[in-house]
Amino acid sequence: MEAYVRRELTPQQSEAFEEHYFTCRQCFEEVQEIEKFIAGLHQAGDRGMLNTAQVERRWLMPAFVFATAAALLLTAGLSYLVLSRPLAHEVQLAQNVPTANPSPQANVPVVILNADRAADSRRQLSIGDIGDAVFWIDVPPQPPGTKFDLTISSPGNELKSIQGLERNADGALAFSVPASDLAPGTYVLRLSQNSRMVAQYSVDVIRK
Amino acid sequence: MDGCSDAELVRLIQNGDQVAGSELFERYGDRTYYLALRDLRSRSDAEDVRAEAFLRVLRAIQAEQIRAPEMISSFILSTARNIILETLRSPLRAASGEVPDQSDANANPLLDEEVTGAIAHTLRLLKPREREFLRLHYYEELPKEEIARRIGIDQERVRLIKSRALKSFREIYQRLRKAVDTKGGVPSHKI
Repeated sequence: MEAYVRRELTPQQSEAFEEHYFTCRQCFEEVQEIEKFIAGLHQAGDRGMLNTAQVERRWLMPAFVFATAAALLLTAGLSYLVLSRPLAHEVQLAQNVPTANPSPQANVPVVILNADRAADSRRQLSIGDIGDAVFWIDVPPQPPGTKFDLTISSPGNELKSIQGLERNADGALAFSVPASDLAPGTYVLRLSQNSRMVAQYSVDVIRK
Repeated sequence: MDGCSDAELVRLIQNGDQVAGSELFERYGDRTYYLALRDLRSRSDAEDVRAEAFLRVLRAIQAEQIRAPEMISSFILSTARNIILETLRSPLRAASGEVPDQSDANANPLLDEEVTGAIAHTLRLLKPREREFLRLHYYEELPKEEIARRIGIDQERVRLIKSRALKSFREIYQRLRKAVDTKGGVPSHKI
């Protein structure tokens, strides 16, 4: 499949493969994933993200290390209980939350946040004027019912909070924010658990 | 309609069933679009090819010109290929100097925010040597022998790095897609 995507097949081989994936849904989906993977790597290369000189070291906050070690001691049954809860239930637990937009959006800006001690570690989020931006924070497995609180310092030094975030079925704290609420500038997000800060992130919001 | 074979869909379309026509489009529209996008590198051109291909296919079905209804997928594919060739050879396209949607990396029609995010996350999970391999193999497109010489890895290691990187990308990408596509799956917060 990679040879096809990279145009390394002969015309006859390409045509034969196209005849195949026109009838095989699974192969078609795999081809698309490889195509996007390679296109994404080209973009990353253009942006210098493949340069090994820019390696970032990620340091796990002690709380996450402890949480990971503790979680490893739990049985798979606890994880099943967390994963089997309806996704809508997680939405209901959030306080003062408007319902999420039920219509899928194309090209939704997404920022993935990792705990990182590098002083200048920042994520960039490029957004338009409409729609939502998704924040995605990977967290290690947690005991059922574990909740996190997030405070967000906006560029105008306003402080907002989101309480009661829970790890979703994909292992992350995920929430969306309307783009209209995100003025350009640097946002500092502080994640806490039981009133103790466990991670901090910086996000630079840029308007497209 | 999901349980209908392609041949049954063709018969239904011949009998004037419009839902069957939509179902045929649902089944093969995305593959037609991908094929066109791959060759033409333009979303608008790919959409035009897809629309024209299904227009011709439906007309051929209604005119009972399909000799093997069970092979309708091959007919759609060959129709799409012909239209792609027509588009590439179009004097209008040449005269307009139309360039594909690749004026910059951000305009690559294959990329979306989820791909960019998944790639960034995947790269963070890789070791520097693995990242170097991806750069030399996919970005610089160097021959394997040259890559092996530069960073000293064998064929088996190459296979493992590719497999791990792609698997990681696939998992993260699918999670991100689910996050933005799932109805009510991601709580929205006003701040």
